[in-house]
Amino acid sequence: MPESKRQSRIDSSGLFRAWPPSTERVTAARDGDRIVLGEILEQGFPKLVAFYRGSGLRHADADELASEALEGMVRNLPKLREAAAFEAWFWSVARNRFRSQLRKKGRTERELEYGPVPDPSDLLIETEEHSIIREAMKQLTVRDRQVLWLREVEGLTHDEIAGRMKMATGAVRVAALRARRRLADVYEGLHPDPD
Amino acid sequence: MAHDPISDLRRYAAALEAQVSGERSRHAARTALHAPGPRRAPRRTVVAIAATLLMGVSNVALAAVADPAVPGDALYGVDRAYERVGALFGSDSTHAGERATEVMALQAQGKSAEALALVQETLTSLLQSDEPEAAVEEFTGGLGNSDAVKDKVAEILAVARGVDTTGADVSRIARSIVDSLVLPDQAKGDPGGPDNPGPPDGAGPPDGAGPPATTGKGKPIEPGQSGGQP
Repeated sequence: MPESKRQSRIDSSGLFRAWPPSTERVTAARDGDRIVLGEILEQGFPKLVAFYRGSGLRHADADELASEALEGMVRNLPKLREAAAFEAWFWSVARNRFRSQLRKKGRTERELEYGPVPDPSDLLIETEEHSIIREAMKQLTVRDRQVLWLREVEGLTHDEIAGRMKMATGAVRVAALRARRRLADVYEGLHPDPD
Repeated sequence: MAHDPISDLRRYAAALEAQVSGERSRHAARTALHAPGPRRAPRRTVVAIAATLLMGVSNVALAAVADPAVPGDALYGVDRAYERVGALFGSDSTHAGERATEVMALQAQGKSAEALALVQETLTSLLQSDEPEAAVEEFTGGLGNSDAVKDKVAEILAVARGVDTTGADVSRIARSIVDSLVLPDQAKGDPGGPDNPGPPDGAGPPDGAGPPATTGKGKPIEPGQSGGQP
């Protein structure tokens, strides 16, 4: 996603969402400005919860894991050398936390699926469109879900995703393409033909 | 209307984000900012593990150092304490061989009284063990192979078969055993043979000399039993 497209994102209340944070704000946070750091974390938290939900976790688990990821970021931000690389670093921490959580629970990414019953919190936002996208995402591997999410929702480049997910850029490109096609196929099957 | 899954995915993501309240996000951010660093816990853990390892190594080293101690040595109490701890954890060793070594060491140092006390204590303990005969044999075997000592084994085992193990019989036999001991250097240099019960140079009274031996309860030992001669 181009930079202009990223910055045009407007949140549900119509306010400009300052994400990703500017390099100046990241630098200030890294250098000890706790107020700026708090604001960045506050803005990043819902994105993390959404990412984990999109990866297949239930809301409560996603919320808890996002909280842990924030704590990891507070500890490790001073080590971030290039403030410009913040966003890729942010998702790297998120992804690593996700993987370590799976290991802790003795699960693999292949095993992880959405819950057998819809998460009660989904009822708050559930529309036919959402239920279809949720069902379609279930058909993807966790890795493909995350690649697709980071590429299409968060707008990271293939290179950024590759660096953060420890994959070759080509592999990311292929995974993203495969995920998009799979999503489109599932969509086609799930949507009733208007004719 | 054509459906675009990517657009739907983005809308779904926005809905999921919006589901998280601002208050929840602020709380999560504040919690993360004030969370105690988990590095402290591992550091404490490392220190605890290091201390435990050090204590373990120290214990092993202390046990090894204390092992050859004999009564009267500073570490003898430690040595016996480790044995008692071992017994608590299920060790069924009677340490009969070790006691025998200690008796020999005491006797070589001329500490006949201590040797006698240790033999008496050990016999009492061994005769109350699960397998007294084997334990006594191990003990007396460790005291040397002199005929005099061997001859006492049968007598001791008779005690094991029903005599009061804390009474005068044990004291008497203990005394006769100590009197029968032949130290290794004596065995080499004394052409009189291993049965010579005399003590090493200057190490205690000669056979039959000195005050009469007593049992543990102060009773005099009969002359025929104190010289170590059957």
